Amino acid sequence: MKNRLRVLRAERDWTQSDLAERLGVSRQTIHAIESEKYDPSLPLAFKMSRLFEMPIERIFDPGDAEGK
Amino acid sequence: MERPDSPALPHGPDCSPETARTTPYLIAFAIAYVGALLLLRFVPMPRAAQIAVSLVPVPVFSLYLHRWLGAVRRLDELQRLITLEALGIAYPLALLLIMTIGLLEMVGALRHDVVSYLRLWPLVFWLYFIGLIAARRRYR
Repeated sequence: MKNRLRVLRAERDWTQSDLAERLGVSRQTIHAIESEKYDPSLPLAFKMSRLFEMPIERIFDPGDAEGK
Repeated sequence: MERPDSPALPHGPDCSPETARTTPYLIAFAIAYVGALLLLRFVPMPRAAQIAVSLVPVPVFSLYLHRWLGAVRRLDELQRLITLEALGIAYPLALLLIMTIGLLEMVGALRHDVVSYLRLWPLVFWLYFIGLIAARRRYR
């Protein structure tokens, strides 16, 4: 799933480790999500939504997966 | 400007702080196992004592397993998925290994003293690490 995590993180001048710490996950997980190799769970997506103060759909774009 | 990150994936699930805390228990098991092996091989003792010494590694390994499972429960969602995939690779490979050795033994192509359980279990242990490497590469 496409996402804007890398951009949102860069806008706040956070490293992957900074973001990982704020979300309570490993940096490996942030890297995998940013690389679009792993889609986060719904609870983690909501955590991101709260952290970036924006709706989930502004962080993640389901793209082709929508409607499947 | 975006601050540089350290290189991707310097740590795997088994190098996380959570699972790294189980290392002393793994070392304790290794000591118990090697100690039992050396005692049984080089120290003459009655049959009952041999059986008792053979079972010494069991509680030590059980403690390690208990700690490891606790550590896995504290991993984050991707690390748990990687651990699951590693086990998912290792388990059928272990079945395949044991089944193949059994068949080869049956037809006399392998002698039991060549492929004993003592030599087999470390292979099964390493299959998990093969699975771990394969699972980690998927999310690299």
